[in-house]
Amino acid sequence: MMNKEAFLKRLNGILMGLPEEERQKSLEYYAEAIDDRVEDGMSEEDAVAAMGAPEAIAAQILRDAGIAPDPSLEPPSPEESERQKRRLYTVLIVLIALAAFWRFAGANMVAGTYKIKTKAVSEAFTGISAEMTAYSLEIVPTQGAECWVEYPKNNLNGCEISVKNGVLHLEETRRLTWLSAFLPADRDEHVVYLSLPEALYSAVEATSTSGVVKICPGLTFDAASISTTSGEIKFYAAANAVSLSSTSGGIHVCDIEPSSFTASVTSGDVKLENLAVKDRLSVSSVSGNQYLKTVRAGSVTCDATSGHIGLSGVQADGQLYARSTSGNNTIDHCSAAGIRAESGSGKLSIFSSAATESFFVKSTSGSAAIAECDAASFRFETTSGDLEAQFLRASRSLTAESSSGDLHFAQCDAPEIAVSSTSGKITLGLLTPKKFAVSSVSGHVSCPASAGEEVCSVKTVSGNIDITIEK
Amino acid sequence: MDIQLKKGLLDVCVLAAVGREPSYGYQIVRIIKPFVDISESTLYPILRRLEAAECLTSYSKEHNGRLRRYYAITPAGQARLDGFRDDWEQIRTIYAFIRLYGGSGKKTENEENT
Repeated sequence: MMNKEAFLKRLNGILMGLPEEERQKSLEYYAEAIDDRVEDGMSEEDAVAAMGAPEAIAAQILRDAGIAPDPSLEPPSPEESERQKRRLYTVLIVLIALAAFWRFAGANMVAGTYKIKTKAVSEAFTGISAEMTAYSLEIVPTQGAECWVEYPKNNLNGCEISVKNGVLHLEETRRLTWLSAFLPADRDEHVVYLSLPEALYSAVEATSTSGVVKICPGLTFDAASISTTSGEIKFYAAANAVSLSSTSGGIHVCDIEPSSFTASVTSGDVKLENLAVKDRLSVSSVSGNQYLKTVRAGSVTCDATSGHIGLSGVQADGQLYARSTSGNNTIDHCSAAGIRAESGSGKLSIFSSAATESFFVKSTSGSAAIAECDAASFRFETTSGDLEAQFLRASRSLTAESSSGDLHFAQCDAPEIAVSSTSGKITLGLLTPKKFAVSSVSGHVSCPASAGEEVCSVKTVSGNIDITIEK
Repeated sequence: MDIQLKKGLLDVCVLAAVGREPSYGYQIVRIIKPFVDISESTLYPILRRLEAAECLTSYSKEHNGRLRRYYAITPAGQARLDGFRDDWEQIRTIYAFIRLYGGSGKKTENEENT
């Protein structure tokens, strides 16, 4: 079924040979006729169908104008269209047969099967640079004194090995890259192995598209920089400065002691275990998750957009900063001089953690729960998310502010406590402060426990107050 | 029905349809349709032809935010319509002759509909 626009467009196309004015008149006439029928209650498609085929209409108009219509513009006869359809099917079947043949026989004939090649590198080098596309790269230590490269090779793909200016270059080579588009996807993992004698290497730089990059333990580098697109990164070697990045591949690192460490991903996950970083450790992800377990560093920064952050047993000499936007943020058994935990709409959960100085918790709309934590001072800021805090010990002060989120404190110990909210409900239980200030604009305030011994202030503008003072 | 004959008769039908008052495409089709099978696509060349022969004039008038082309009969068109009424007597005579000599007894009106 054709609509009015398509009908008029088609008619206009065929009437191109007609003088502009004549053509315009015809189009106006048919547009009006269709509009009139639609106005009369007919559907647009039915109204167009009532006009008949635009080819036949145009032929009549052109004949009347003394112009021979183009026979190709006549609608194809049913037999003709049937014949065309059959021709199309035949072509399709032939194409499918060709593709099947190519997939099972032709492709292998062209590409050939993979064979493993081995090459010894006799030149001396201190740096390593590797560029891989689909091949995986694995750098392993060797007991011997010689460096070896093992790589898969077939008629199209291989690996080029060279040493220039003290740097060993490994490059995956792909001949006839245009042809590879027609080759069936290779699901096997083809690995280039680089066996390095034990020594201190100045740098390792590796890039890969879909291949995995793995750097094994037992090797030592000054600087390591690895980036992949979809391939995973596994880094287990000793290095001074480590920088890893991947788009959709995951990053896994364990048992290393670098002086600085950076990992960034878009959608892949980052998993760090048993790390001791002298200075700064920084992890960032967009939708990928971050899991840090038993990590010690000078300072720790974790930033995730929609991915989750999970920190367990993370210790920072300086600041520990964990921020998630829409992902959840969980901090468990962590300690630092200062802890700053932020979450946007994700859930924030903090357990059994300690800050020698300040402990700052900020959430926008996500709920926050904190329990069993110590700090010199606690500060909580929430907008609409609720906060639930239990068993907190502050040596100096505890302050909390919220707009509409509820604030709930129980069994918290601090010399000074100040809690204020605009419209959120405030509930305080079993607190032992010396100074105590609670204020609320319209929220309900409930303090059923012992209040301040020296200074006590509870204010609300329009909310209710409910206090029970125990002696 | 013979195409040439039908063409001539349809011209007169269209003139008759706009004879009382100016009318537009779809309205003309609706007036004639109960008597003679006609569509907008059949009507268009007739309108163009009659306008070229100055039997009709046309003008645009706004309707519901769009333009509608109205066709009105001219004195020349009126003369042709009147002329057909004069022709009618002659046609009836011809019809009687055909019935008399070619007579299968079948009514031509039925043939018209097949």
